[in-house]
Amino acid sequence: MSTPTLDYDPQTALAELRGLASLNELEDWRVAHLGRRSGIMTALSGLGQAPADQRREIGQRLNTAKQALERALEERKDELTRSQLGEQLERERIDPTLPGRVPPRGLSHPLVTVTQQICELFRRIGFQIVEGPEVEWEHYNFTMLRLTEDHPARDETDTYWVTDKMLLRTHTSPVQIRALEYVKQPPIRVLVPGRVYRPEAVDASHESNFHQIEGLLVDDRTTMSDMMGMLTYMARGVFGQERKARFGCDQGFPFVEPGAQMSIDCAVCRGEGCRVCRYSGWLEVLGCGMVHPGVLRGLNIDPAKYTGWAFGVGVERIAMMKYGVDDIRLFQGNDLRFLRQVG
Amino acid sequence: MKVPLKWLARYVELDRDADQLAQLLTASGTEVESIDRLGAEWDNLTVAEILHIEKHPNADRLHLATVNTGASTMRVVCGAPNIAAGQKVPFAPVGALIQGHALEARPIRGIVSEGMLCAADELGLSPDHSGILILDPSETPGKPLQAVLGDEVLNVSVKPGRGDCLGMIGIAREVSALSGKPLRLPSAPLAESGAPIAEVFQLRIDCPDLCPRFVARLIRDVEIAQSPWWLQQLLHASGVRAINNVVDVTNYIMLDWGKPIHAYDFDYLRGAQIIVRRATEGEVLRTLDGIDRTLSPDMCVIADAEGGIGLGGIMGGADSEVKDATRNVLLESADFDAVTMRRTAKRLGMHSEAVRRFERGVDPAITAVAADHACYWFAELAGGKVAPGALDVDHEDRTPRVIDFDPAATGRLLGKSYSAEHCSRILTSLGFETSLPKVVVPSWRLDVLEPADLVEEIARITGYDDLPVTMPTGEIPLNPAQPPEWATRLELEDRLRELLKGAGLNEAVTYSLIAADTNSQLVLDVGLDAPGLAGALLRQPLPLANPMSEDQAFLRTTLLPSLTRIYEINRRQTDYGRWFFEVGRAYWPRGGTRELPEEKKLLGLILGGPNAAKSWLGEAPAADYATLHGLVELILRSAGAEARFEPVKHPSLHPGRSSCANANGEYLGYFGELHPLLRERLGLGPDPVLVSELDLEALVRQAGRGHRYEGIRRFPPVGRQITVALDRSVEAAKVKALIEREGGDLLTELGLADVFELPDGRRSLSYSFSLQSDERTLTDDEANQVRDGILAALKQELGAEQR
Repeated sequence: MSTPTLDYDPQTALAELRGLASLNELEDWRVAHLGRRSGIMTALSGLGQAPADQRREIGQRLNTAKQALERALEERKDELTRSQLGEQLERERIDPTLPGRVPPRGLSHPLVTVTQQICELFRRIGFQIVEGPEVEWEHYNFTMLRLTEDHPARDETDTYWVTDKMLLRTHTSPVQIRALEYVKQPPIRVLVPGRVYRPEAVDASHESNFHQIEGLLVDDRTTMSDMMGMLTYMARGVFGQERKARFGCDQGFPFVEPGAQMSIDCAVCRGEGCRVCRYSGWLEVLGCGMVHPGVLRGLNIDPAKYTGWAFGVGVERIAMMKYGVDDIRLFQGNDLRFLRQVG
Repeated sequence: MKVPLKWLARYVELDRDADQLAQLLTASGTEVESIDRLGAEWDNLTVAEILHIEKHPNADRLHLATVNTGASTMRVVCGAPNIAAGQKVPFAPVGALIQGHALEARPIRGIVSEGMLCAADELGLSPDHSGILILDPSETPGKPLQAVLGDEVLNVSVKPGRGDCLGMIGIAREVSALSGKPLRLPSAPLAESGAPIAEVFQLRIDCPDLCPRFVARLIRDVEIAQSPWWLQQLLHASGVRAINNVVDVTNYIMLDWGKPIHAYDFDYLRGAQIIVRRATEGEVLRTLDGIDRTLSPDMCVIADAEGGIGLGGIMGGADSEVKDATRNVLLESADFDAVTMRRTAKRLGMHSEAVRRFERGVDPAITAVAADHACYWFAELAGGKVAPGALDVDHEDRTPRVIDFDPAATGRLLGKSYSAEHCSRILTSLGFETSLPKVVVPSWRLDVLEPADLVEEIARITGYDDLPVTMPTGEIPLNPAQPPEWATRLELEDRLRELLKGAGLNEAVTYSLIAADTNSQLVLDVGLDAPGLAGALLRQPLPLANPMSEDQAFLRTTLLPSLTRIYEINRRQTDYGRWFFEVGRAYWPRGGTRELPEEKKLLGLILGGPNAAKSWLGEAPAADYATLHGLVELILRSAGAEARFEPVKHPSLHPGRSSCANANGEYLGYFGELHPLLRERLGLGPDPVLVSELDLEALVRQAGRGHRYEGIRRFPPVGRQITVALDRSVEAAKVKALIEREGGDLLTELGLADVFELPDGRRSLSYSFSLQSDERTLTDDEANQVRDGILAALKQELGAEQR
């Protein structure tokens, strides 16, 4: 029986390792050079037979050699794995700019978007969103709003009638009256989106069946300045913070006094004057004013104690300005070629 | 109302250009809609002086005029009879645009004209082509014609309450108040002669409620002729045709003071009298325009001893009108009741300039003043001799309105308090007499009734720009302003919108008016007794009394026709994405017309085909019945309603592919596939079309308490599966309901895993479910016991056979 050698030189094994190219060969190498019967393991197991005074030194040397082998194996394995994975990833390469799988998402309707946006702005200031009937009594649509028996707005050319008392509301203003009746006494802050009707000849800028949003605030201290502030806040919310609002007198609404209209500076030309604003730099947006004392008296609300303001804005008009739409009929046409651009 | 600035400038100094003036007026409530610029196209037309005239050598009727155009001397050929040396005339050089055509240098009878002298019609000033327009002798040759004859005309939209602004003086008063420049009212010094009118004529008013005041004046020996050029030009710029000097003066006074007046041929008036009375029933009067009008007793007629000579305040009669031969004129300046005017005009379809003013209300204090001014001009322009005195029957109450006004009202309403001095100054500039707190309203301001009206006057003349911009500081209301369930529904609507868009449906907004046959086009089975919404097509829609078109003559009773219509429109445009929903209203008449109709708040769905374009990733699946059913389940679950589904009859749906949803016995809506015959009839294409309508108010009522947490069961679930064969007529909903009943509290999950047809015609259904207790781990035996109980019940109640 030969004495197991306590000498071990890892250089041959290391050189061999560098020549290996697959994980299988690496495993064979591991069995051969680090396995139970390998040189280094044999040498280590024979360590007990070494002279006692050299045992420690020989042991250290053998362990260093073993660690060198192990480390070299790991490194080589890592190298090989990396290069194999690299090949796999290269095979898996796609064109990352191919279009994605977009989850189907329905289009918003611009009239609804504008309505929701305005509602949200007013909700923040404590307004309630309320509704009222589209088929309405003339009492609410006209009489209570001081549109007297002989007011031209009642003409068949301006109002769709059902009977001599029942009609399709021509504005959302009757809901002012209904909401005030419901709360009986101020304060009230309501915003009324809804559909209204007028027998207009339909063309690119006129609809007979369109949408408005009415706003009403009545309390013991509000003023026209508040109305101007709130409407400026709305205009900026809808058209951008840099918009400027301007108010002028409007004597056309019998249910407000003083009456006003709001214009905003044209977003297209920034007030310079262009085709969109008919070279005036300003676009008329809505009508508004202080609730006429006669309207309050009609509801047993004391105009000496309470003041209020109201406005009515055309949703189609706002949407046309906001999206640059030049034909009002597109909105209720629901053509996908239109909706895909604005929804 | 057309306001030529040259006319306006007679009464107030204009210290800014037309655009600035328009802006100022508009901001103060007198809306200028546009500005016409007369003469803007007269690029190089100038004043020329005629130096001398000779005959055209080759033409008897033509002349050769040598003119000084300021820069040079030119020779022009001219055919007009009215030219003479020394006159100043409009001159157009070669190349100038005349009536849209560039003037060419063409020989006229052998002589080349170096330009053209212009008549009024060639300048677009009036239809007059009787001769060259002769300018004021003081004009200098070479001056641009625009500066002499051009004008800017404001087109003013006058609001119903502001009849005073239907006259130049009213507009001038506004300008004066806004600019601080004084108002210069015209004066009319009258020279009277001959026998007083009272000696030769009589006047009576029988209907002072329709005509409270009538002033008559007599002008003798008028010479009917063309009005002078300045008057023609003013009328033309105001959009009124010049006729003759007498008629032109009446129009001039109307445009000046906003007061319509009328001139009769005095010699025609029978019995030397005028009676103002109600028309008799069926009375016929031929008005100026030659049309026979049939009248009724609520209309006001001006009559002489024998019959009607005018429709009071609206139009004169044909027989009594001023003609070329008229020598003596009777002038009417009268007040008429605004409401009567409006009704009469509406009934007869006569919307004259006079009616436009009377129906808004005319200053009752200027009845006699306007008559005096007219007489002055009849004398000036037609050589008339004004008879002394006037006949004036006056039933009018002209007590001025006095308002108690506290300037603090400005602060309360406007947010900025104006001083008493400021308020007085502005009100005075508009013609109010102020010694605060008393404010006397001027006679022409029929719209000013109370302090709020005065606040508007002060604010609009000061300018709204002067007001601070603040945010509301008052109390946010505690109480709801509508029934609380409405607010809940509105919130649900917004939630469902997001949900459905997330599921790939586009939002639509459609017209709510339909044609008489819209519903019937969608009904395949008239005899069907369909419940609730499914029967909406069979309801009688509410008709409009005055529709604009047959297409929009009724209010829809269901969203279905609107939905199929947008589907149809888009089918021709695009092959994907025809998935729509609408949150809209349908209108169900009730109680005849004694009650407002019920306005149903509905959610409508329509879908067909794929909802995405075909791409390199493949084709999106086309909508089918299960897609719709799943969407309806999603909607109901999101709303918090626990619904049961069962087949339903619907007059436009596939009889085997339609269901309704119920919760606690309340009908929530229907859904199903459109009948293939209808799909074909409406041209909706080959894909199945799925539709649904859900009642949003019912959904809110059935939303229950919403979602509640019930604890997570700590013990593990046990899964079981059953497969049963059933007759095809047994609906899966029934099987499911039975499994749920038998599974009781232990059943935590239930899913339909598989469905297929068996060769014997029956149907196989496989369900997998989980059983779970919150007290202990269930044993196999316990789970099997529940499963067997379910199977036994299915067999006994539905004839199911385990497979």
